[in-house]
Amino acid sequence: MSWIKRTEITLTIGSFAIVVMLLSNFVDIPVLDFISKILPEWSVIIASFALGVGAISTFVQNTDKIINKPAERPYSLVLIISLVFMFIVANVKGFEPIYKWTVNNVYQALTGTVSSLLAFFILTAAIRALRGRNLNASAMLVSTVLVILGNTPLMAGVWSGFETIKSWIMQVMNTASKRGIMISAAVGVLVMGFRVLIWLERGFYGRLGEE
Amino acid sequence: MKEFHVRIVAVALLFICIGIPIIYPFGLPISVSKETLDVYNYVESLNAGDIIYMTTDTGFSQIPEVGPPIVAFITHCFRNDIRIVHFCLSTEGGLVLNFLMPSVETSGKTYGVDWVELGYFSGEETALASLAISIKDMVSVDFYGNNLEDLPLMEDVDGAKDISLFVGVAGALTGGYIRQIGDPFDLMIIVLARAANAPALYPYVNAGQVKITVGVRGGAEYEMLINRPGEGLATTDVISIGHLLVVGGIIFGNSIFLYERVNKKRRGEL
Repeated sequence: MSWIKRTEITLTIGSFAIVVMLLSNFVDIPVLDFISKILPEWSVIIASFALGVGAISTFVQNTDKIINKPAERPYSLVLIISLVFMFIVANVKGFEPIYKWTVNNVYQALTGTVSSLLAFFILTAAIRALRGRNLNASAMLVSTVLVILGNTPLMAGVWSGFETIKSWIMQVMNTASKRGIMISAAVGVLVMGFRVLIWLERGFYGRLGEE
Repeated sequence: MKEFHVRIVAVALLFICIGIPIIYPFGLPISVSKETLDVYNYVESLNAGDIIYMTTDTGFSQIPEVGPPIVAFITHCFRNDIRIVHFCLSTEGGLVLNFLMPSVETSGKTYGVDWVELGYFSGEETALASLAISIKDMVSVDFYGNNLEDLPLMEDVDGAKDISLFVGVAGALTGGYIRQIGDPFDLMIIVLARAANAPALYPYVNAGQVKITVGVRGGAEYEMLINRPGEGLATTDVISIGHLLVVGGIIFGNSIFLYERVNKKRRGEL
């Protein structure tokens, strides 16, 4: 195996980054400060390249579908044409008005339309799925209805108590449960970070981590 | 009643109940919530000339929900001579702001002096960490290709140490805002939150780290506070009717469920 693919190199780089970023918060050493400022900038550059890789991967996969999968050919063709068209108008000087028009009048309308379908799903779910089958479901149902009524601007004029009840549910019940979830998630992140540091956690290194 | 018929009726009802108030607004009353009032009062407490960071971490699909609070908030800042350095941590954020800026009251305000648009930075929280330390180490031009050295506003700001407030939109990255900006630099975070993200932000609100507006209703309330009616207030009728329709659907669905349950008990099937 090529030495550059050795697992230990990848794991060492990961552990080094963790140790530097951690220590820079507790120890005042100029070299550590410098590295801890540089590393986030490098990760921004890497993330930008990841976007590019995603676009190329989308292009390659859909080109493959156009060639080999007749059933998906029309959709992949539309995607490829849109991708190439937007890439050209976004990057070639003089096409800015076309880019702006396409984004503001085509893309915005399409995404808004897809999002607005949510309203239909919510209503049909409210009729069919939100049912008080048992005590837990009934408690959730009652609190759902009270929060919805508290959020309805008109109901504040009918009875101010709706807003008071909604605020209590959100600021007491909801906050208490969210805090529990956030604290346990934070403990999980700490444990995961420590496992990465001591090379116990290798899953996100992909195939390199499996060796 | 067949399920298919129920679905058709529900969809038709939704279409009518939401369509009519959009075409003919009723002007139903709304009240201002404590959350929105807190945001308004905090902005009022800032001094003229203060600089804030603002990031629009949302996409075009959320414009109907977060557009009104963004427009109202930026208008309020400009009226109080607060300067804005805007960037985005989502791919569409800069485009969203470009789409909304024509609706903002910008009379007397100049790009480069009163606000600057830096564009998209990939990496989310790591990008935010770098921007908090130094903008000029990250980028040398703005979203439009202008040199940062040529923009008067950028002479007074380079990192989070130079700002008075951080403003985020949507709310999904609030944990990152607090970790990279709020706590290290002891800054208040304001989030113009989506209604779906707001419940997750209440622990931060109760801890005093974050102030929020909630969804398009928060935008409507903000428009009332700054006395500039806009799309938010025009949407409150739709919100009221839509919410009541959902509650009606819940009551209807549960009535059917209870009726079937009672019938089954009578027949001895339960």
